[in-house]
Amino acid sequence: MLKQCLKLFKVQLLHMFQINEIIHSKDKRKKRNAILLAFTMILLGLCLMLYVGIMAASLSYIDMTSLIPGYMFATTSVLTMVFTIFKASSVLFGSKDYDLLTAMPIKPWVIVVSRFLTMYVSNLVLTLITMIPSALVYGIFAKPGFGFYLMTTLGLFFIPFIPMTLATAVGAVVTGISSRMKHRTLFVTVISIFATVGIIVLSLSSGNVTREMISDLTKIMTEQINSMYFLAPLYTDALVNGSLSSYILFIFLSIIIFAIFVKLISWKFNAINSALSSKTAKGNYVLKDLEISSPLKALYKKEMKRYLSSSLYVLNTGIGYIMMVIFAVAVLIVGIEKMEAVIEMPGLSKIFISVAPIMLGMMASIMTTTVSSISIEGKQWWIAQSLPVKTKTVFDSKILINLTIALPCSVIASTLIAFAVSATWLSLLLLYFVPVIYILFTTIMGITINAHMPTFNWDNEAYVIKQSAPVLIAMLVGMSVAGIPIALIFVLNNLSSELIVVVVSVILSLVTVVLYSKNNKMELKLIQQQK
Amino acid sequence: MLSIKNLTKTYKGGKKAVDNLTLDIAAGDIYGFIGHNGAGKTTTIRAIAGVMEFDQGDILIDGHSVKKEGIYCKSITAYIPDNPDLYEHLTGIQYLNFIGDIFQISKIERENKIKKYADAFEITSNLGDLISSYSHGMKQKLALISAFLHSPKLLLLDEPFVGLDPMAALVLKNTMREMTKEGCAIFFSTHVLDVAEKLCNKIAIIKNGKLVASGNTLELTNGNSLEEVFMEVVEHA
Repeated sequence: MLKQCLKLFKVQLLHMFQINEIIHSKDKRKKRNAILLAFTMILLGLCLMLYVGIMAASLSYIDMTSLIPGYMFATTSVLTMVFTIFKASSVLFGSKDYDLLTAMPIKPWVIVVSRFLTMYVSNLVLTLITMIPSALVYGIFAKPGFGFYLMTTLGLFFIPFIPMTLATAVGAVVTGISSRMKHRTLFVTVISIFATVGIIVLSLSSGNVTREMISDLTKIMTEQINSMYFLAPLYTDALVNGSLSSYILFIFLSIIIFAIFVKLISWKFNAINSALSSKTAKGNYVLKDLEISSPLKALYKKEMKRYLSSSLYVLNTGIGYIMMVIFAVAVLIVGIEKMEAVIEMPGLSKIFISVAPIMLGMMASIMTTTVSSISIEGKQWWIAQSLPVKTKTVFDSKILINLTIALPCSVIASTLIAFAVSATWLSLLLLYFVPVIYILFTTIMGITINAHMPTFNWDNEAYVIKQSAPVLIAMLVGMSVAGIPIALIFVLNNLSSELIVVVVSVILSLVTVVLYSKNNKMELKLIQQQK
Repeated sequence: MLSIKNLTKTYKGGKKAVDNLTLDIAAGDIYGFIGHNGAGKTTTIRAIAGVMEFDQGDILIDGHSVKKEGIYCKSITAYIPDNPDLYEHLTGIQYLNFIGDIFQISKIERENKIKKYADAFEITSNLGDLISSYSHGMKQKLALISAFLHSPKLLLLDEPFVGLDPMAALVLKNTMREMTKEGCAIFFSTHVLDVAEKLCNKIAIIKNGKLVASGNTLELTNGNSLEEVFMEVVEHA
């Protein structure tokens, strides 16, 4: 059984990281793309490690070194939960290879564990990225004994288990309930949006924090996260105080909770999958009047139906826009001075109006529907290729989907912030236009990347929506285009921040126009997955 | 109607899927395209349909080059692949209406055509259901109806009889004959030699990407069965 489990795990890993395709592909371009992807992933990882290291060091500078392990542990666990809750159900259930696997003499728990291990690998990477730099910083400042390093190293492998189990359990329950519903996508989407907004609001809420309380802020936040994640005090006790019993309890709980979860999921695995694969068909249609549309409108309607048919797609691409609106609401309700304390950015209130447009742009750049909009067509891509429509029409229909979702959120967020702060007319103009320029750039950049690196032979849409190379590259580009001007505003403080924002926006607009025009000259038949 | 001139398609790695293939299909022809698995039938059809790039040669549809006037060629062609993966999140009627919009078919014409062919294939009552709930055969029927909607001048079908029930296969054969009477040219691949022999006025046989025989069905078979001719040609080519 263990052998079967490892075999299944290996097959999924080969697919997940495209290892097999890279090894067996005769195409040099494919290998180049793989190297580019690996480079992008390493770069992203290093950026995150640096960020975590700086965060941990800043805790030490305000004499809160002892909070680093618990703080990072809780943060990692919450992040793991957020990332897993979106994809857990789609990785566990509804996969296209379900029929193939269940027809084989494999027990459900073997499939469940192999799928869980696939998610575990990506979450373990996240854990390594957050825990290693923070442990090193703690080591430098607290100078702990050998036991700390031993416990940290071994503990790394257990950290993802419980948050993943909890998130997967929530995902499984939601999927289980929704599997009996006709509008299951809508149900899953709404529940997941509420859960995400809830987690974001909880992690941002800090009660009546004042500027005078800033020195206690880390403690307050850590206590909050401790209360959000019940194992954080246990982990702190084990690592900081060297409590072996707490450490053993942490390992024991990780294993036992995971084992119970596997048993429970395996019990209902086939039932949930069968319910998900059952279709509603009335077979009582009578021909009615048909509505006529232009080719672009017809493609747009088709794209929108596809988009709304997948809760995973909606959630992963909509999260940035939800964050934009939540951020703006928070600024309006909480006020910028309190926000400064909550997000630990002293001096933010002075430059807020200058960086707000780019902060909104950054949230809009997290993800775009276009970056997976070509790959998500999968085996149906032949339809678009064989239709008598120009590439521009097909691409425009995909671009319009992202703009339909992003632009209203952007305008709402800008308006809320405009009410919250006092600003000059130029600042107001930038507040509205800069996020829109970022949205346009990210949308066009997304489709450009996807058109050059499409993947059509996927088994699970989670792969193209969350894990494919275009998604990772787009995230890196998005982070860069938002991060660079913010850094420039901080570094070049003798230059007008508005000037920096205007220059960056003009450059982005030009790049957007060039990419859009180049994309429209592409031939759809040349957009093929490399063999 | 369709003129394939020295078509060559080489896959990365060096394998020639189609090798210098030349073929002419006239309006009114039902042209059968037969060959072993991997002989190059699907590659040829995909190249004609404009969904696959080719290295050498040219393909003209109604005198227009697929390479230079791709959009026009597609507007007068209908193509159904061997395994038609359709938009599963749409209902059958939404898919047909989508195709109607793309080909800019008038409201009356599309309603009449949908009624005619959906009734003939007996799937009218299923048109309100999501395509994801359809069986393989129903998807095939829906794909065929979508291909007939804009009265194409050239119909390209890759293994169209796979998955169809006997009744639907008969409807398809009758529709193909009816369309060719109206001037449509049909080029289709099949492994069902009996059907090809009875339905096609012309046959082309392909082996390892090369055209090894083509012409009028009666002249090609010359009193033998198509199966015998196929085996003979393929073994000695």
